Amino acid sequence: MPNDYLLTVISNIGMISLIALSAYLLLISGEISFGQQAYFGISAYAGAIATTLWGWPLWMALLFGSSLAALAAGLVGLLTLRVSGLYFSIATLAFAEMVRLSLFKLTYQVEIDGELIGPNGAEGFGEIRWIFDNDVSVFQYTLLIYGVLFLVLLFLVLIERSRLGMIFRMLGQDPLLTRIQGLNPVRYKVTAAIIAGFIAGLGGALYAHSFTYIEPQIFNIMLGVHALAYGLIGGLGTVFGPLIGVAIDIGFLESVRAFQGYRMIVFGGLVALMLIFMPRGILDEKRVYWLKTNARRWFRA
Amino acid sequence: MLELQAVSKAFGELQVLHGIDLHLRPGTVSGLIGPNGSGKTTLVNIVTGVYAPDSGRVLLDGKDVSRASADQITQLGVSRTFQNIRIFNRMSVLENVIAALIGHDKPGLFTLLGSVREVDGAGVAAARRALETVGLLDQSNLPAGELPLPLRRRLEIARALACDPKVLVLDEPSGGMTPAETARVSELIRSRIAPGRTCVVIEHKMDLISHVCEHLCVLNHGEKIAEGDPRSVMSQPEVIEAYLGRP
Repeated sequence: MPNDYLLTVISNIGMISLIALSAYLLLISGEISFGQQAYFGISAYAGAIATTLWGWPLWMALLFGSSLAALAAGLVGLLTLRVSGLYFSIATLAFAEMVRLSLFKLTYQVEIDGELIGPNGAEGFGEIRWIFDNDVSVFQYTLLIYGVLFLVLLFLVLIERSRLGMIFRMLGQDPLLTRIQGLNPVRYKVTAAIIAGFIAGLGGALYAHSFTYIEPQIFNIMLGVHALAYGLIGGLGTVFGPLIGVAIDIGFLESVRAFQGYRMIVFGGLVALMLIFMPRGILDEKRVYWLKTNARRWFRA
Repeated sequence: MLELQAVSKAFGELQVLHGIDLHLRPGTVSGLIGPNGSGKTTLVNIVTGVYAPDSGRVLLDGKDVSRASADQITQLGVSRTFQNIRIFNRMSVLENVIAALIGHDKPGLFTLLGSVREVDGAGVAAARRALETVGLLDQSNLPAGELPLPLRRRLEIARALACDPKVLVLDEPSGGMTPAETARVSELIRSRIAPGRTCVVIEHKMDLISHVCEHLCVLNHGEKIAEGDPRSVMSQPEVIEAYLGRP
């Protein structure tokens, strides 16, 4: 069985992949969100409150946190997606900062076994003990994370093959042309924002229960920027692109000792190089088309 | 069918259209010509809901659609192509045409979640028919962005044609083409696209206009200066002056 450090890296890749997939969904729909960390954070707090303070089972806490995140994403989308483009990006960043700063003010503590437990502003929220109370090992929790990630990937693969997925990609290429096909861009962009918020929420709630401690500072802009960069590095041609981006950053740059202290410099340089030489990432639409065509030929042969 | 009543439009201080009246005859091909900057594309953008007129009305089957959005106008049966080609470059040729059918169907939740290719076999068949009409069926699986310009124009026409629109607006369908390519697209419109359909063709090339249009309207500086049978319109002094200048 892998050691705990390796399992932590693997589970981290799984959880961060969820926020990367949420940013990816908006990217293919033509919107750059600097604020997916807000939904990750909302769900982390809501999910942790549900299990730790209210005694809910984890699956209900995941659904509760992610639904709250999706609701918030839908509201932000409704208010901002009419303006689109740069305005949307700035609005998402402003909302995420608003959420982060609000978490500094959030105090909701309940006495459990003689101790005050719950979010306490800048001190964060510790004692998220679901995995200890339920005797869940790191390995078992990692399996759970990858189970959720698998379901999300399956859902996104089905979305990509569906009419809805096609509309998202149409919007990403030309919103006016999409409108001229008889489709209301705002409706579908808000739909993408809601789904993306839910997926980021799943990652956040899992994250809170994995690390057993969360604080507002975790959900800062760097998390949102990384989530965006993973799709841009891994590629926007398939849902598997962002996973490659996460694996490169967390699985390689963060985990290999040689990069310690230089990770952000190498990562930033990598993003810049990708934007210059492969603006739609490693697995862009052309490469995915080439891979699919050749795979079909190979199977036929 | 489609009727414009005293349509005006200005962008800031620039008055682009001055009280244009236009009545499209059902089942005929009408040409809209005029020098650069005469307001042709603005008129098309108003007809297709991209812009709303400042004053006047656009009527479709007697219903006022002046304030309808572009997606609503499309749902009502008006399809168009663009002067500057607009296609979904990162999709296949077939997907570009299916895109039009998805929008036209007013998809509900369950339809949206269905597979693009399997939910509506009839839709895919319609897309293939449209591609066959414009001679692009053999290229249907190619990425649209890799097509040469004349074939991209044909793809736009196929996409506009796929939903069997009530009114088809072709904005410079031979823009950027050589004379031989123009002749081919002109024949395509006349023989396979126009019959039985209400079309508006915006063009500069008189060969194409005279080959396909049964009715002609001429704009100059945002005003309608002539309308009627193409031959008689083209011989009017105002039209000759607008195109060639005062002798």
